[in-house]
Amino acid sequence: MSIAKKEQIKNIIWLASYPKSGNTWFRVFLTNLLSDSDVPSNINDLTETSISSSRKIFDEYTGLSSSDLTFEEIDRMRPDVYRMQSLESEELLFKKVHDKFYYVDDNQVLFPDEISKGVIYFIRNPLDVLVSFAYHSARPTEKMISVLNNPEYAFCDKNDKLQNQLRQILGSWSDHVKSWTKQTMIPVHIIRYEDMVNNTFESFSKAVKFIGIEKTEAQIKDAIGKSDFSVLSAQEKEDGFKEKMIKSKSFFRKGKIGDWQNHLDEKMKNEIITNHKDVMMKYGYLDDHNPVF
Amino acid sequence: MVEAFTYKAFGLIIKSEFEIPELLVFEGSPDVEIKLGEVPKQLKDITKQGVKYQAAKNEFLLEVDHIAKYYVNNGRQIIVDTVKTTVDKEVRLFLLGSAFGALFLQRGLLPVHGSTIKFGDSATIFTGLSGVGKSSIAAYFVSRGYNALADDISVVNHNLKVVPGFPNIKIWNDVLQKLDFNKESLAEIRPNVKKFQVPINDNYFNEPLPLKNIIIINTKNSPGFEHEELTGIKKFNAIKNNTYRYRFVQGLEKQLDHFQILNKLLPEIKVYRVTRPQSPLLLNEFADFILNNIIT
Repeated sequence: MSIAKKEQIKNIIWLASYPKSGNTWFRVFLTNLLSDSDVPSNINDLTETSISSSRKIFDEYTGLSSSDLTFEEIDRMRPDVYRMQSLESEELLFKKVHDKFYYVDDNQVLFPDEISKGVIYFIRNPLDVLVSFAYHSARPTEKMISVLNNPEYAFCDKNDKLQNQLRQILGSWSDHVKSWTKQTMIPVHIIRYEDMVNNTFESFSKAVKFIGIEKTEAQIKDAIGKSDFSVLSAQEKEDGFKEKMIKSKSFFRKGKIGDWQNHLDEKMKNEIITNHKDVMMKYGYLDDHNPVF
Repeated sequence: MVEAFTYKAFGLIIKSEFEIPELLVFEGSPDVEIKLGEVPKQLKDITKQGVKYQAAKNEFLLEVDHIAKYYVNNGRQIIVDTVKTTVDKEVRLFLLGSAFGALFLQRGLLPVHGSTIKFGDSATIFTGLSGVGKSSIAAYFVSRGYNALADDISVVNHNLKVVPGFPNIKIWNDVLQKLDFNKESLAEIRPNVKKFQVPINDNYFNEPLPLKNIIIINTKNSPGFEHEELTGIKKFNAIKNNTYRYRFVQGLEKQLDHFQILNKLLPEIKVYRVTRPQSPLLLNEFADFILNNIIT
């Protein structure tokens, strides 16, 4: 059975990142940018940017229960789920992704290029990612080092229980970055978290330009204001945030650059640097052997 | 002459050319026939399609790669075209799932995505998103001696009763470990999926029961249980959204039937949203919360 041949258009923008790298902040910004409201959008209602590993969407679009399928079967159907969503939408779709970019079989990638307008790839200093990810998962920092270094790392990959999202293969931190930034099938725009913090307007404006939507400087500034860390943190304190993991105290923690210096000892720092040196150098996180941020 | 097997499930007498050991044997003139044979390659006048299905008025076609194709028509017939040498449990899994779902919708019944437990003289359906714990809580109630009517698909008929499905609950290995079931001789639903078919013959209630409550299970990332009764449009939408394979409804052009049965049903039942912590899955506490706050 093949999907009806209405012409496919490139209308999906993937918002891809390793966890804790600024993806959610950008989604809040985008939601505010696309909303007409005078008040900041609710962090629990980021409907403009759905999650690509949603079990609900998969089940609806395939007509099958993902819980009756193997990980490999699901992977082989996911590209068609995105094709169908693309086909049904007249508008630009934004989809959050934590999977790395990979081939699901000999012939197709998980995220089909013929429906992809582009990918915004968010990258952050892995030393800070480590600290933030450990906090978010409520796990000791030492233990999370092996996660960032693990080429097999995946979310929701237990096959003896039903997890709330589809399996997502991330690989190691470096694998993840390379998978998205080296692929040439989908145009990619890379944003460093540190630039989002230090040069917010410039960084967000470039992303808006890449997406190709017409917004004025004032509209972009307004959306940045409505998605300021203090606003998000206050909203979370008031009503909680549904994307937080149950064990962690809050999702919007500090967002600080260089906070790793307060948490990592020399050995921990070096374990990350040794394993991710090339990618860290390439994106300006290492100057010879010393962290830049 | 082809051998035939006759069963009763979901209030329907079903005649099948192959054995379906999950279902209860029955006698009588069939409402539905299941055959082996060739299915259409494509449907004509498709009104809705998904990645693995096509729907037209009174016709539905589903394809599960390397397993089978299923053609359901007029709420009366299902043709199974399998690539396997025999009709095994994998072929039956999708027959008793999505294909049956389409069959019920074609007949104007209301299939709710979830499991049904008998409390007193009435039925309560547990529904909600995939992975939220519908089968787990039902299995827990069964382990405490309550009776179940259905798992995964609970069908409400035109008399607003839940009709019994078949005596089986599918449970993931992690939940199975927490429950007091005899784990020997349980079979996985498929070779690489660690979900088990648990027969519940002794705790199966085989008569239709009036539906009293629908409980929509939700999760949250903070401790404690909460509940809320839904009314008005929220109540309507909650059931609409938890209709089994709701996207088929449009394709089969059954919106009017679906709307009518919902409108008839809603004044007769209560609908609650119950929210539990994402983890850990505290089945005992969750069941007590439901018993104390809803099934009073």
